[in-house]
Amino acid sequence: MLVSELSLLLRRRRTKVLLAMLFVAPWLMGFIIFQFGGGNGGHGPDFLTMATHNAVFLVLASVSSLLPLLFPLAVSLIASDSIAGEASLGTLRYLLITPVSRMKLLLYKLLTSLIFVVIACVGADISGLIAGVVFFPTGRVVLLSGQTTSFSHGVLLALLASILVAMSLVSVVGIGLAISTFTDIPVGAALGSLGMVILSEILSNITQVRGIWPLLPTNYWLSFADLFRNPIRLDVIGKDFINQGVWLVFGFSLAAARFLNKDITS
Amino acid sequence: MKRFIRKAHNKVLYAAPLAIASSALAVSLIAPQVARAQTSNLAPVSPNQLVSWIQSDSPLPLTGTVSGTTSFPIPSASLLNGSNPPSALSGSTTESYNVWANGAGSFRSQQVTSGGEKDLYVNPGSVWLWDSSTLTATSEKASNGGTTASSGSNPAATASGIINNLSAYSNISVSGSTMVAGRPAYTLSIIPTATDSLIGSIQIAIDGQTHVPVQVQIFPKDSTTPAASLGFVTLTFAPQSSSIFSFTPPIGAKVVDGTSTAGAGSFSSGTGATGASKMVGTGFDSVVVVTPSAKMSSNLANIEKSLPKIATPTGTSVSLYSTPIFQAIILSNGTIIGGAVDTARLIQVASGL
Amino acid sequence: MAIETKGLTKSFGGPNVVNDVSLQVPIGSIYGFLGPNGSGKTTTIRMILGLVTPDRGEVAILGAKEPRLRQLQLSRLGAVVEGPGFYPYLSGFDNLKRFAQVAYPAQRKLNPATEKLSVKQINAGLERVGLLEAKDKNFRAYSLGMKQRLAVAAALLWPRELLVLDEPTNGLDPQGIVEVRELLTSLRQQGMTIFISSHLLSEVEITCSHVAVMSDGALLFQGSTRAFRGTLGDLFVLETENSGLAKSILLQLGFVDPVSIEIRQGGLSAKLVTDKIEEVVAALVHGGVGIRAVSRSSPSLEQAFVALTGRSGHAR
Repeated sequence: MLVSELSLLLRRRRTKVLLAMLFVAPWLMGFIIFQFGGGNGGHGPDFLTMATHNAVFLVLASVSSLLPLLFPLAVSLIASDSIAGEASLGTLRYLLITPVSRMKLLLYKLLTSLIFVVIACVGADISGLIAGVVFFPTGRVVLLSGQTTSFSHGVLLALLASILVAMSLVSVVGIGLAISTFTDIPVGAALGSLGMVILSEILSNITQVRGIWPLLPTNYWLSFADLFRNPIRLDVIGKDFINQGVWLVFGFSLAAARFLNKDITS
Repeated sequence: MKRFIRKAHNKVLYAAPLAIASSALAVSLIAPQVARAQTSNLAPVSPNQLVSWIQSDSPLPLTGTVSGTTSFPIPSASLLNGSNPPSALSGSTTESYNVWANGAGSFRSQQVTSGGEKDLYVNPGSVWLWDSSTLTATSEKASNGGTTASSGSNPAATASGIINNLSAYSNISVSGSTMVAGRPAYTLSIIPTATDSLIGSIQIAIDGQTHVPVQVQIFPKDSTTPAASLGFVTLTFAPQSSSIFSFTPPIGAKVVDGTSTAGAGSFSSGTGATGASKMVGTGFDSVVVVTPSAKMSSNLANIEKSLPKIATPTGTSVSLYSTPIFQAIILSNGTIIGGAVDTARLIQVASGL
Repeated sequence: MAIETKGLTKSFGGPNVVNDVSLQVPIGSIYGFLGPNGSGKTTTIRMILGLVTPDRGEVAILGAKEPRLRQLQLSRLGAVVEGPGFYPYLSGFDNLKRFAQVAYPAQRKLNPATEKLSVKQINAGLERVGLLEAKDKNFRAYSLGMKQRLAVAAALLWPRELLVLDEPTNGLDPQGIVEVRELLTSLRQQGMTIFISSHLLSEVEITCSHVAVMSDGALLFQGSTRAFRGTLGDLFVLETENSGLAKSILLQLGFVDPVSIEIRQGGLSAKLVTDKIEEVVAALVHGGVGIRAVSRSSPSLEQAFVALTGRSGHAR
């Protein structure tokens, strides 16, 4: 059944377009930095400045600039579509009159979205690595700490970073899935879940609500940068892990509570 | 024969997401308020013993997090260099550093910014400052085994600097004990003998077990809250990997020789972009007199507009920059006179120029 | 009983959409579930299939022994609910394959003898509804009739004991309707119970062994088709030349225009379903209407339906 869900997802033109967009973005970014030089405009991680120095940093530069909008957009679209999309096509009622249980269907939808997140992040990462090798040097990698490490170790860190980025998007999957069970309009659900991400990003800039920052799903999104320090800092990554996990469990339990009770009238 | 299926409304299922949401909220809002209610139980010790522990600078490998707080705005070096607008003067500051010491003269402090970091690498014979946002490595003077450079983030270096420079001008006593980074610590109280000092006392906390200075707090006169403080928030004594301390400027980085000019972020004084400076007086009474460079003067002119004016006994007017533990006056010719002293002392120094 | 409900009641926040509906669908029957659009048929079907939770009442499918195993019943049941629902970007074949894949693990768990559907079986399913040639076309390119037939094919993917069809002939051309009808007859001969809802009486009239009539959420009648016709008395065709007066008298007596009153050139022909024809004739004569002829025959379902609901069977 997972195979069925995955092939259904990956055969959609929209999914292909989203993935292509995420995979091409690092090339675009690499080309721009190659042509016009780096510089992070005073905000954002220092990877942008460092991209011209090493292929590995193009990956990080592109991932950290995709993270605030493009990744959440893609993940919102996919996760919010999982139930609302089936409802809008009218296929949900036919899935539910097969002997499959609602809980199982929801679980498979969750798994499918999670796998999409991993494909998107690791794929964008590998695409960025290739672009980096094409545009920039492949020598020793300068860490944020100013120390250096071998290129192969840098590549390994970049791959680990993509896993962490995928982990950081798990909250969006949870939120998207929950919203997906409350509406039959997939675009509305996607906007709702993207809206939650943007709201979280806005709140994380308002110091008056500093107290709730640790709860925001986007609060630790740059934690993957901590891989590129020496020593590697695990505390923020750990907090991100817990934060994302809580959002995922919250989102899924809310989705389950709604979906198991829901009258399917679509 | 027949049984009927009934699907009950399982509204109770909503209990799960509700419970998760409310407990996450509770943990995040309540957890930080859990106070550390602990008391220390240390053997009595003499002030001289504490002073000798501070001076011995007994090397122990350690790692921890250091928090530096000032309750008043500080004109940063970058401000005086003209790289920041004058608005940077406002607000109090808290800086957090991750620090490591290997016990053999190497020290590292790391200031983590979002997506970047600023580092200080102190090794015997070399001191490097690293800033990832500009990819700049700045070499500093390796004087005093790097204690000067590291005093901003290393409580032990700061404490030994205070004892070495100020103990002769102070009354020193043991003021009791406290908890620093969850560990019991002695506190040494240093009270200026000079009456014109703004400083009420400096409190140095020394770890009860390892005798490493772990916290320095500066209290203004007649105040029980420190105006400036530097101390460990977390602290672990353990051997540290040598890879943490090694630093050579990476290929592609901008390398700046900071041994001749005053580099950004360092606390050293001298001649350079900021102009010429000299010290007048000793101990808590000491006052710095800065003759600013042309570039600095123009920046000062902006800052001066927002500062109050005071009259001197000779009838001239000077601008006053005032904090609880530091004051400076700016003379009409642009000369800056500053120190941890009252305005009478500053004006006295000014009249003696 | 293939399907049995007791006191099904449902509202979506307003007045009851379905009110105290108790159905009894015998095994082996073709059960016509009639009622105008909006009468609560679809909501009732959704409750039977577990898509909608009733506010009150109970459902049993194929005499379920395990109270919680809704899935068990569903594995023995195929359904078309409120039109086809498929993935427009998949071909007809891939759509069927998708539903086969989703259903297989659960089908298998409930009945270990279940085998994974082969390409051949899916093709056979498509052939049964005449879609084999269009199987690689995307669903979005199908005509409405093709879509409808694909839905029937999906409902018959696995061997079924019970088929629930909600408006299965919607959008089909007359040829398609005949084909569906033939398909249903052959399925019944294989021993399948068929529950079929419609607002069109004509399609039910020929095929159904049992009939239930819904109106405004309530069940008005349930029983065999023969009993349905029988409860309403006989059908009388009455001819007169004084059509205007006759019509006004008939309307006063509660007959419905235009279904049961038909004005022809030069006269009026009224088809009246009643067991009191004597009183009708007396009233007409008393009112001064000359009657040329009265003849008796069996009423059609249409007429019975109108008599029950007060609405035309074609009303939308």
